[in-house]
Amino acid sequence: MIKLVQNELLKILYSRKLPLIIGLLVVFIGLFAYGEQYTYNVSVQRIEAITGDGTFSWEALAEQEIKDMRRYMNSPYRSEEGKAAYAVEIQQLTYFLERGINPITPGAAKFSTTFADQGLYLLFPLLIIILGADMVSGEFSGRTIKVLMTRAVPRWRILMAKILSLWLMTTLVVAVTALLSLIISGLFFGRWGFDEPVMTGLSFMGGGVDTGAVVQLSRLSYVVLTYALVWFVCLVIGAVTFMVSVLVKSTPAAIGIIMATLIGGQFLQFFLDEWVLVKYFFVTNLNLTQYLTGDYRAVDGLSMGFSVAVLALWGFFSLFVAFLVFNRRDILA
Amino acid sequence: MERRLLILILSVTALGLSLVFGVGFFQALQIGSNTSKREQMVREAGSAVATDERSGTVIVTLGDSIGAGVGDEAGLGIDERYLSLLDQAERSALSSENFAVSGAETSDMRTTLQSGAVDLALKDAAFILISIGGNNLNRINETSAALEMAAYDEALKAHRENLAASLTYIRERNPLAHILVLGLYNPYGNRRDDQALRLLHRWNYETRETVTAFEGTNMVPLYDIYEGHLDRLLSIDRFHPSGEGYQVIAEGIDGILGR
Repeated sequence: MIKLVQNELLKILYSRKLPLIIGLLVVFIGLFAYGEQYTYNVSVQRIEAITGDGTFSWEALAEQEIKDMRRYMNSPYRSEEGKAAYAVEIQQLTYFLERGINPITPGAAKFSTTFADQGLYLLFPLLIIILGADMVSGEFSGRTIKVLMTRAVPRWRILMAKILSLWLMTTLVVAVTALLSLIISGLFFGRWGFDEPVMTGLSFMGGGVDTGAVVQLSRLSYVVLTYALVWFVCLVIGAVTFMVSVLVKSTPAAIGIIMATLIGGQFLQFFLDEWVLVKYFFVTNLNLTQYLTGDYRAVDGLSMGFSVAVLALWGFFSLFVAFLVFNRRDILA
Repeated sequence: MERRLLILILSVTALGLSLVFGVGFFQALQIGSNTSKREQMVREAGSAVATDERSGTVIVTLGDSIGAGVGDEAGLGIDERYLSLLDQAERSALSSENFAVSGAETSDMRTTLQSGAVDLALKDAAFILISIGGNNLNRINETSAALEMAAYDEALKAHRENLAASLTYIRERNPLAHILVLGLYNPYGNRRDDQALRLLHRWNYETRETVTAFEGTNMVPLYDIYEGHLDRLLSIDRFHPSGEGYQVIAEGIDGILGR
């Protein structure tokens, strides 16, 4: 088995997919990071223009905000949860004040998690598709399938080796994405921000903030958590891609089908409230990091546990179908 | 050979990373599930609170003659008519305490409140009904337009101050019970000039500003309901509401409080 896996890994390395993926990442991350830096500079300029004297005193603004929030917290008519929300914000602002950092200053760690949130449902799946779409269909179009099948190796082992190699490569790609997003944005912004406090477990409901399940983490931990979710989602996408690659003998067709599914699935989001079945589609559950940021529209029955379960089931089901079909397939045709 | 080594390094790195990601994934899953569970809980609690709103048992009425029910042929008044709109079960759970006094101005209501006479009722209030301001306005009767404007401005200012103080007092004793403030209607119909109407609207508007600064409050906009129907909604004295007029107010309150 190990030899088989090695073989498959070699195939991927030889196919120059990694340079392509890394190239795409560098381009996108570079663009995003530049965009953020540019927007930040424009905002600072605009504020300086308004305050007139050319010096942008964010400290005064932040201190005023803290004062206002303390006053709200002392009002006897605020709900407990409202007060807790203010307490959280005060804590965060204080952190930035103490270190003399403007809270809107972009930092590498924050960028990399935002990048993950944004890319999770389209960009990252695209990268995984590049990796895995031709794993089986490529053997057919490259006419290497007969060579592969005439070895004295059971079919399931071959498939297993492919799946394992896809797993390993997916893991590496996710890690590389995390690293690249950190490094490139770090170079752009000159700031890492790893020890910034991040409050997660918040949820924004009905205009208010629920802080009941709040956990405070360092931004570094938050990066790890975010990319762990990205990793899980990419594995599931990989499994589905793999299944399609087994079912369809042509790689372009495989890619087309999966991309259409991903993009078309995004439109199905609009029907989440009325059409119950949409919930069970894997595409509508890709956005796992929204449960960490708390920034999500509450849909009845949709929760992190539910989304994870749906994705996991889709993953296993895809692999099961892949094995079934591949084992039965008539290669000689 | 080097290819083999590269593969080995990559594989080992990938396995190690999988471990890290795996642990991270479960931690993230835990945090995310707590968030969704909390959100679910809060949503359910929210709907429970909404239905349980009126956990008090006393309908407290404050203010002037309209609060007292002057003009009602059946002698019922707003609170009694409101109770009659409820079903048997809800009605038996509520009672009514009326502190309204004919001729009272906002300052009088404030004095009544601050004397502590209403404290006990406020504590057990299901909701609080306030009808005030009409007498303040009525008392303005100057000879010249300029004097009238000055008197109006002063009266409005005093009214807002006293109203805010009253609402604060009520809130200190009962932070949750709903407070309903009746807007002023125009009892003079077409007989009033535009300027007077404008002043009436401004009075209502500024009262609304004061009222909505407090949480859990509502205005009951009577001007629109009464406009054009004065013949049947006003009593014989052409000033206070008739029985039907009070019924319409009670129904308005029922609509606002919901069921």
